[in-house]
Amino acid sequence: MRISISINGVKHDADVEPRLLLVHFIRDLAGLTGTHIGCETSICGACTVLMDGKPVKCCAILAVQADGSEITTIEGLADEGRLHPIQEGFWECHGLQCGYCTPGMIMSAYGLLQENPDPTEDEIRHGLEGNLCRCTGYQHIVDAVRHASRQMAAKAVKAG
Amino acid sequence: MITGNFDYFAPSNVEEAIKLLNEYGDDCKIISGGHSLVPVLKLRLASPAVLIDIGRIKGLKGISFEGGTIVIGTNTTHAEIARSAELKKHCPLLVETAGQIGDQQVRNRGTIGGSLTHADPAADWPAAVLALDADIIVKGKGSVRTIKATDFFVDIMTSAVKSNEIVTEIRITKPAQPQAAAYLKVPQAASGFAVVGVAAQLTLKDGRCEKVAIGITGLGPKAYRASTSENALIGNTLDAATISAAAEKADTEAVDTMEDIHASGEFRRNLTRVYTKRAIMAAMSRA
Amino acid sequence: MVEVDRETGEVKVLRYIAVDDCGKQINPLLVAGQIHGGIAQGLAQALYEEVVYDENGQLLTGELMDYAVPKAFQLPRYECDHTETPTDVNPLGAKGAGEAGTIGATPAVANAVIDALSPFGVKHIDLPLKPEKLWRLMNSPSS
Ligand SMILES: Cc1cc2nc3c(=O)[nH]c(=O)nc-3n(C[C@H](O)[C@H](O)[C@H](O)COP(=O)(O)OP(=O)(O)OC[C@H]3O[C@@H](n4cnc5c(N)ncnc54)[C@H](O)[C@@H]3O)c2cc1C
Ligand code: FES
Ligand code: FES
Repeated sequence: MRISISINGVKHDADVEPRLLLVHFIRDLAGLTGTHIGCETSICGACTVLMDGKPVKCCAILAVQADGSEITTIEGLADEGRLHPIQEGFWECHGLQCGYCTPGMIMSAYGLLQENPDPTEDEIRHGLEGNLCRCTGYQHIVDAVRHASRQMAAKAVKAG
Repeated sequence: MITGNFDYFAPSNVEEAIKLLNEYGDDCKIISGGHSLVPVLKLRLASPAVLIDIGRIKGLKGISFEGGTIVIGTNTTHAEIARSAELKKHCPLLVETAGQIGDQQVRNRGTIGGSLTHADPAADWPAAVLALDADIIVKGKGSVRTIKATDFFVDIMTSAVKSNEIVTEIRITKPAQPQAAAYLKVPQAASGFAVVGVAAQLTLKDGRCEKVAIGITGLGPKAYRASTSENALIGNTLDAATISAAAEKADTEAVDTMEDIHASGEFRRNLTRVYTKRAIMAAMSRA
Repeated sequence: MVEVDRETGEVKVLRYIAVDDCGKQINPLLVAGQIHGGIAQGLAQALYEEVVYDENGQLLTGELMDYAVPKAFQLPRYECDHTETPTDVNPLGAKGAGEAGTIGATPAVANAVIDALSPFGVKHIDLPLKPEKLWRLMNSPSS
């Protein structure tokens, strides 16, 4: 089946089997391997990307279901080489160790901050319930999201 | 992990979808959000030859109001319901339930109609639609049926929707006292599904319970209304003793119970009673 | 410090305090990260994680749907501090910090829960401390 999916602003047209998963479309056809595959059973969140602006687990979505949609992966978050405030937060607060969960974690944090720009610690912890991290014990991830939330608020004020 | 092979259709209207359903019969399956079905296909617990994606049908998605009735399209996602300011005002029980399903990624894809039809005994929606006395509208070839929530859940993973029918919308009468409601769940530590979930919607008048509906999920192979508890509350002043005594009977209707490594049937019964008490208390405190 | 729900056996970790010593800390932020990760693992061992087989030897917890790796909201904010006893076996005075958090966390959480249940005569509970187990201990005829 012929489908067309825009990833990070670039259109990708391909003839695919209906059973192809969106995560394989992104990694194997578009060659964007920043999106990880962890559990393959829709629990761990490593495969989280934005689909039409909202975080989703793309190991549980067929590529054909995403035909015509706009996907943003971790590779598409930085703006002309400048890290997104959430990426910066993970850097500053040591929000990652092995890094396997990180791309998914960042995309989920993006969704969380979009819904709730100034979340409490509890709201951050619940907001990230779809993402597992085996290394950090989550505390520095929570700090990273807080950092990002402050940075984004400051930026918004500056932008007026 | 990939699914078996299948043919894929994405019809643009309900009639076309029903036509395809009748053409392919038991060889086909509807897919909406796919967040129950894709995992099932990946584990090859089902291998339909044809998938009919109803996700692109316009008019099956969205929340609207027809006088005193709330109308929710089958393809409305959990997230859209959780985010709805209108529902927060007119039916917060839906908002509270939606917000406790899975995680934000799951809520962005999973749909209310898909969840109801899937009839997972650990799903959250069944409790809420029972407590709200919802009607589920189902279309077939030249027919439209209204299924009452109390008739909708037939058995474990089995709803009253026939294989050549499609759920189109869920209709709910606006509750008289919208805020007098609560959905409380005990999430399974790993999956987040409900070990037990209790939804309660109350109407209080002059300090007495005029009306109450309690929907319970997780305990039995299908969700049910805790009628014995409801009857013990109706007409009474809701003091702690009355609530506790009524909640003690919340597992009466469950003849069989679910049982797994996370909770025995006996423990689930206890959770049902405790969380029924807490849900009624919470609903009262919000009234 | 933990709270156990009398009616349901659910455990909430209210505070978790860890004091470690890895000698001279070169990058304190990285040390904290290691300690945190260790605590999460140890704490989850006490409360959530369990490999279960059925009577035929079939693994029942082969998926993350059933094997509970902890999520962010199931863990508390850790309050960490440290003492500094430099080692003299290397010129930096630094010692390993990798698994330090894990070791103390499991017994600390288990002992806190056992202490909370001491009014019921509880002196020992096999891990993990799942709600049903605790509920049964609080409701057994001997308690
Ligand atoms: C990680 C994870 C965690 C989850 N946690 C929870 C949770 O805590 N609580 C909870 O309740 N659920 C949970 N779910 C399930 C989730 O809510 C599903 O999205 C939902 O159950 C199904 O909706 P769907 O649109 O994805 O349906 P699909 O997967 O597309 O379909 C499900 C079934 O319904 C049928 N179907 C769908 N729409 C229609 C229709 N209109 N007419 C007729 N048949 C139809 C399909 O043929 C299929 O058999 C979780 C899922 C995942 C992956
Ligand atoms: S790989 Fe998709 S959720 Fe784990
Ligand atoms: S940093 Fe290793 S899993 Fe999160």
